[in-house]
Amino acid sequence: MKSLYIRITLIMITFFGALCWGCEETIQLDLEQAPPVVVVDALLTDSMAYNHVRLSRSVDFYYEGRAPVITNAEVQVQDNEGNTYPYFYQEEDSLYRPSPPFAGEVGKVYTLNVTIDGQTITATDTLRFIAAIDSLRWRESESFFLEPKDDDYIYEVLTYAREPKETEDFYLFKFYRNDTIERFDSETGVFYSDDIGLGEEINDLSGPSLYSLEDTARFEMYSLTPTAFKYYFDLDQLINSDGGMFSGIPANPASNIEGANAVGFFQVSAISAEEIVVGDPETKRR
Amino acid sequence: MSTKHLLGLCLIIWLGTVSTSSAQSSGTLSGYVKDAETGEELIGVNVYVSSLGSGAVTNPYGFYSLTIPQGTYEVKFTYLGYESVTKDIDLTEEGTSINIELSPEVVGLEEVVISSTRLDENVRDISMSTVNLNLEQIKRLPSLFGEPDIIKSIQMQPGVISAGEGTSAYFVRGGSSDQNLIIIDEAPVYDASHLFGLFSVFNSDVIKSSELYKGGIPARYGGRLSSLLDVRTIDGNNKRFGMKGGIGTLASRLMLEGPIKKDKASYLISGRRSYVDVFQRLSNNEDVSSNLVYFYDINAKVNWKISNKNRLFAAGYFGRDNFNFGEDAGFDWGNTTFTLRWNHLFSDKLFSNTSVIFSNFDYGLELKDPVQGLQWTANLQQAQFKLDFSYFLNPKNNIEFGYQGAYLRFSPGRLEPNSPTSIFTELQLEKMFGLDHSLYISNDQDISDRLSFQYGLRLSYFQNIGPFTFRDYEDPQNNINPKYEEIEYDDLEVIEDFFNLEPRFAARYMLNANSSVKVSYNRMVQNVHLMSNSTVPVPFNTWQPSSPYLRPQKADQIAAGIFKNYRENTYELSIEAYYKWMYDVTDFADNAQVFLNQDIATEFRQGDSYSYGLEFFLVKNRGPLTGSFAYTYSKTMRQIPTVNNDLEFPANFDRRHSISIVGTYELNDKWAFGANWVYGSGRPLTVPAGRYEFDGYVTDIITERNGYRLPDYHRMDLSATLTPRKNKNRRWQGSWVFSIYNLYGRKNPFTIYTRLAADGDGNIFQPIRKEARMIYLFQFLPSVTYNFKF
Repeated sequence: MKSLYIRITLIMITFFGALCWGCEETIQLDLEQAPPVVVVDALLTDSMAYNHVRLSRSVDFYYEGRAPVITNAEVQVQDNEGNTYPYFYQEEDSLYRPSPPFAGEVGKVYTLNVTIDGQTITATDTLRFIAAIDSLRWRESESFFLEPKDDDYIYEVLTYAREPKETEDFYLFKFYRNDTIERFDSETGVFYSDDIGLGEEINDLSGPSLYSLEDTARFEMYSLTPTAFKYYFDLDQLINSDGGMFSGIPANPASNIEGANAVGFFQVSAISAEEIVVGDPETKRR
Repeated sequence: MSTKHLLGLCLIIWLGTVSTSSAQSSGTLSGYVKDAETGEELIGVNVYVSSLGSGAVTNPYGFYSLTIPQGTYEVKFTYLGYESVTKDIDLTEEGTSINIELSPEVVGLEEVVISSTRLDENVRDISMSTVNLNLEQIKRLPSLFGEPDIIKSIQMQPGVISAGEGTSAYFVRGGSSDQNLIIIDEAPVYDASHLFGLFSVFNSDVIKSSELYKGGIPARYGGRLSSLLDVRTIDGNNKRFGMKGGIGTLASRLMLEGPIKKDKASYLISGRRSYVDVFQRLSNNEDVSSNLVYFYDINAKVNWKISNKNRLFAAGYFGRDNFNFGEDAGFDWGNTTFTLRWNHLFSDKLFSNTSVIFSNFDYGLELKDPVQGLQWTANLQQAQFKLDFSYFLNPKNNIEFGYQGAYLRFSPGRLEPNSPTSIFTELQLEKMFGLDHSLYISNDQDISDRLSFQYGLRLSYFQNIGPFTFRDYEDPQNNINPKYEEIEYDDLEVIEDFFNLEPRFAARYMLNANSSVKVSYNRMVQNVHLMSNSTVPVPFNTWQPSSPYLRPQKADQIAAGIFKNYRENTYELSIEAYYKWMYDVTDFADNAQVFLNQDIATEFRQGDSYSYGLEFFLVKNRGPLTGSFAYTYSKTMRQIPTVNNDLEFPANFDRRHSISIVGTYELNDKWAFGANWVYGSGRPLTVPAGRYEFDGYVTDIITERNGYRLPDYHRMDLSATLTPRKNKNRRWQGSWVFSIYNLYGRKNPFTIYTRLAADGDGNIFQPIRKEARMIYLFQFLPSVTYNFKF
């Protein structure tokens, strides 16, 4: 249901922007900069392939390079049964991964411990159940929200799933086209939902992007805890803020990271994913 | 000063005065004063008995009452812009009732007067911190899209701040925009905006008077912390049929008025509609022609003078905005108000007004889609009963008292799927109910020729009532994973109640015939709270009553000022200073979810705020060149627990300096010119102190709320009014208003946001970095409006 809110904000900005008389331009702000903080970007799922920690430092707002990666941290995860999993830095993708690899289990509570130059950071999250996606289908787009800009990219991918009404659930969604994540043109689309106001049957629900024939479409659904849901809600508010005119005043997201001078989130999720090739007659929506 | 002390003081003054002049045998002179051409009742007419040196003023219903010793008097009725009338009256014990009709003055150029009230009101009136808007002047001044708008004029008054152009929100002496009560014919209007604030809901043709109270608010008004805007519509001509209207760049309006029964009953009906959509429909571009936007207003009123003792009015307002995006999506919002009013004279000294008021605000969103199809509606309704009495005890004491009761019903939202295959299910957010009672009494008392007091007390009693399923939270501030037990409340069962005393006091001391000093104190209490965490609210924000998790907001304000008129009231000067303490102002947690949240109570963060300021206001009232200069310095800070690390921060609308200069010049009877220049130092802004990457998103780091300032705001507008030569025999009178908004094309910041840095074609730079973007709205906007009268 959060999506509804975002759309209203979009419509209003459109009203003042495109439909009306508003213009915009880039301006230079004279900003005071905070000293760098540690950024924890950590994901642990019930799939071994999605289990990593990325550590970096924040940079000045106008800094022209990428944020520096932290390579010398001690990282480990502990579950509520006392098992400890050490993580090691991998040069090729700048991530810390567990060795030996492991997958999370539904119902367990995981705690991330990071030590950087004597500074300790911890974060805790729980792995919640997720119902599997039934299937994906493709068709020529009929969606209200998708406007074709290119003659080849006219296909939408539809999701079929069941939202269990007996539990209170929170979700994060990710959409891929040929291994590239799709987040709208501005790269700021965050797709998440609670189940308030949602029915049990989710049918024909389309994603944020259009596809051409032969494209591989992938859809991932992650279970979230209320804490993680709030984090994504806040992140969305912040990166899609209009500066506080019609949206709320920009503020840092509420996080589960504990420790001085650290931001980010440690997300623990069950994952459900499906993949189809657009144009495959087997998965065409009839 | 504590409430108790003040109460005691009031009582002493009260007892000391009420019995002063009862021994003498006296009589009462009373009646109504109205316009000889339209039959419209006149507010604020001076009724003066020169041999006694005392007098009275007509009330908002045009009624006056004056109790003086029996005898023969010469009584003079004077009102600005009207020929004075003098009557010889033989006043006996039975009293005398005289209704007076005043004829509008035929004025030469030198005589042009822009104030709508008494010449020396600025100095003589007890009330301070009030602004009486002059509609005739507003119509001659440049306006956005040529549509005269009282809210836009209010935003230019001293002590009033606007967050940015193109919005209808205004901020009075450190109060947020939901702390302003706006009433039209006594009915509250919860969202006064059209087109997200480009226009307000007030159609200038039907407004008779509009007065803004910023401080020293009389006891008969309550319910909001910061200000009251009292808009009254005209009653309709009861002498002859008339027509008035205008054709503007963006909207047109038409008003019809006339007698139902001559001198007894009249009607008024008025409509206004924007027609952007008419042009949109003609467009070849499908994006434009299928996205239709429009708004309309309807004002209607009937007015029946049954007898001199009984008068009935019924007034209604209905307005709505509609936004349609193709066939499939749209949203709308609107206000409906209805007022039924009965003026009754119990005696020539006791005037009463009984009103039954209904007010509704609602909005809806609709999306027609087989999958994501939904309909969302929310509303707020209020039914109100008001009983107001004025007791004209003697020329030195004018007592007002009354009762006001309201039943409020808040429906924060209802979701319905509108297709059988929709992913949504029905959802009704819990409705909330409130009962709001208040009793008040106040007295305007002349202690001596120089010293006058106005003092009063308002008792407010607010009940948050059932039916309601109350969530009793383990930790009411846990907005992440709220845990609660549910408690059921039955119909009308009290969940929590709030009792408050609101003392009011004002004093005026005449230093000499044309200068005075005034002081005032008021306590205000607010029991309805807007669910908005932005700087400017949007029509999709809902309201909530005071409840166990939302304490009433309170404010104490003191103000003092010097008032002086120069050159026979040609120039009015006022300098006022105020200090305001606000307690339990409603604010929200960082990133609060204010929309569709069943646990919104966990987002509430109430804290304290203070504001102080200095307002300088100089007005030139007469002559071919009239106008005003206003300068305001103000500072408003807030401290909200858990927000901004518990540190004090400037309020979102804390503009420190504002200036407005307004002028109109009557060149001859054909041409008049208007100009204004406004300046405001930058409004606070929350800006990043760094950035970081998380899962591919590039996010700002925020360290301080409202620690930065937007660039200054300034703008100049011009207008010219052409009134073609009048043909004395024709009743049709027309005039053209040409205006240019933002003459020198200043790019005035509306807001600043951050995004991924991109080149001119929108391609995001690699490696990724960020940039700040400033949105500005109107640059050099010309418009033409044709106004007519029949």
